[in-house]
Amino acid sequence: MNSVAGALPDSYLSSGWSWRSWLTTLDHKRIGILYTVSITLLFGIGGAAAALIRMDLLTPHSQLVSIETYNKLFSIHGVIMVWFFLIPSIPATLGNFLVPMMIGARDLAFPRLNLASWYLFIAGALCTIYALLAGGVDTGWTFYAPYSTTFSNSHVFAVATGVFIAGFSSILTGLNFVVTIHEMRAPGMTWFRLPLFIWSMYATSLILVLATPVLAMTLMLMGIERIFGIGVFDPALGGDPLLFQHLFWFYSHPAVYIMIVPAMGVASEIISCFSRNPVFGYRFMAYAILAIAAFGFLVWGHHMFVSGQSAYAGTVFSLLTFLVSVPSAVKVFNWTATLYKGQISLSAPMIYALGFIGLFTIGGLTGLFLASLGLDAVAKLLVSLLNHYDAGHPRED
Amino acid sequence: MDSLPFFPVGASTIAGQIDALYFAWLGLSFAVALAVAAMIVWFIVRYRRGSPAPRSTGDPVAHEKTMHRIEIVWMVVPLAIFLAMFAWSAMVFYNSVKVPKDALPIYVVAKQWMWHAEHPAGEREIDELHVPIGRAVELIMTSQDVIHSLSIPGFRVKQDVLPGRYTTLWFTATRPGEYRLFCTQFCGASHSQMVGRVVVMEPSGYEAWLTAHANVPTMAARGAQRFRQLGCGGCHGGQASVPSPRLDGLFGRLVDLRDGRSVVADERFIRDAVLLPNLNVPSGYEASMPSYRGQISEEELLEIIEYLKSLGNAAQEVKP
Repeated sequence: MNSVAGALPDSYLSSGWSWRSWLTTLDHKRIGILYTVSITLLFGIGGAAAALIRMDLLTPHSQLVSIETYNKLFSIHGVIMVWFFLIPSIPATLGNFLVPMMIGARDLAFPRLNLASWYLFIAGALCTIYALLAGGVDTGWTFYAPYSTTFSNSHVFAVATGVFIAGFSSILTGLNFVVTIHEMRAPGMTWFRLPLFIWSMYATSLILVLATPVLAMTLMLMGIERIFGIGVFDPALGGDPLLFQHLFWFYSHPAVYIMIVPAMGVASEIISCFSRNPVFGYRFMAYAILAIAAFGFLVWGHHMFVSGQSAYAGTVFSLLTFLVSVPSAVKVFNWTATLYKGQISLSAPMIYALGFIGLFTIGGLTGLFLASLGLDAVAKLLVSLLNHYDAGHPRED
Repeated sequence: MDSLPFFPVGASTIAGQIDALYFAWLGLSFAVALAVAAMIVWFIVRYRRGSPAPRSTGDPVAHEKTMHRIEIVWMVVPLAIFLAMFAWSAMVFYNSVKVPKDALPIYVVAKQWMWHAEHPAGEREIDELHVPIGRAVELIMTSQDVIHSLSIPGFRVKQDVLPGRYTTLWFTATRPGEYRLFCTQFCGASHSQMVGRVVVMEPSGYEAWLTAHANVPTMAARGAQRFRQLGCGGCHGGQASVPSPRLDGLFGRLVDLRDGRSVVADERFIRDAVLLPNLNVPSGYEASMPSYRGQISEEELLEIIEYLKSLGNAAQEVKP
């Protein structure tokens, strides 16, 4: 960014100091910073809810908050952390900032769309915060019907609307990245020269574009049943509650990979950089990322082993879940092998990345317990589900 | 297993199988996690920046080949382990879902926020479940409102309980005592208080418990009474004016439907026939039955099912 400065300012930081210059910016780096600031604030809200839950659990009979408030706290913790922190955490911040630079483009393909997606994100967040201030929601982040559609007296619709709007921000960001990575790579930047972070952003973007619309449909159907009483999920109205779970997890399982795959990309870059070694098995790593994204769409039923779905469906979902574990295992082994014969310096990013390998290994291994039919139901009781989530990708439930 | 701290006592026939699977995974996981951690630490120490350890990898072509081979190995080995573990867990799973033929049925209706159990012999209990030791027990469950989930950690069993359909769960208790029963699907404000206990009794104690309530009419008797009150016999009885299917010997039979399908007359079939009569119309009949939705509670519906079961089963009946 120097010789082409004719049309461009010197730096994304110094190109203006006013609110207006930030809120109308089309610069991918500035938008990345807007996202960083906003999701950090939202993380604070989600984290405060978690802190209150923990403090309440310190008291013998839930004396800090009422039962209703407790239920609302874990619900808002889940909703904020999943949709307003984890999903955008890496793609919207590091992704926005780095994708054009790492492929040799000046900006994303659609800068205006990029800014629009931030505004949509903020609109969704404000809608959710409104619902929180108006009294909150008590369905958990999963909105299981018919509790969410017929029985809950909390602000289900407002929260669902917030998530619905924020979903479009996800879709637009994903679309922007896919087009940018396809069309705007510098000459000579072939697919198998792409940094692994770009591969991870590409796979994540495909999931964002393909899975998020299903969430939007599900939430819309939920809203229709809740407001107009049109039976979709509630058996009392002629609906099917398992249909909700199938639709919800068809999005929400791939969403797990929206959270973890970008982190895999980050870890790959950092480990490679601070061991002064190219990533071991680069092609395998790229294929593994794509395989995880693709298989991720076929395993949603492993969230439903005891839901009442058929035993045959459960068996197939379990098998597919084990298959998706293979590329995940390959990644751990390859990160480890990247260290071999390197020049390793234990600077702060490297220590975090090595810690990530440890957490991801634990998260992945506990995932195997949960993938096992029969064992799954019991393991959930042993709270290892929480460990799986929180180790694999700091997160909910 | 009894003496392990923080590990719940296993008190059913399936518990041992599930615990074996659990400890196999635990051992395997520890081995893998420790191996990965050891490798990382070893590499960090040996190949720290500026250390004298040699970095040369020799002939690059041969090196490339070796690396490729290593890569294949650590794809194939985990895959083989996963497939083996999948086969094992699937076997345990089928043992846990396949209900033995002679299982003792107990009907459970979940509602915000209590468990209501009904025994065929007539006893009803709330947030408690009395079962005999050494006998397979099948819980036939439904919910009156939202989704609940019945979980008995001591037996290593759990099954969601849905409105609008029946789900089943079975176990054979192996040791007397009291075990905790939980709802494990968030179901509203007092979800955390939707708990109960399962009392496992010696067969003699169970008989004594049953006879202590001997004056209660059986579920089938209550079902028969409800059957009369709703006027079901007007059509399904002996001298009906409207041609209607006879119901004795219906349960468990394969029923041919007007649209060409054939379905087994199980609990769900009877439930649908009462609440959604136009869903499965038997061949040779008109869709003339009215729905009883809203006129009958979940418990009454289960009693009618138990009554129809008492009218004999498929073995002694011919097709209409």
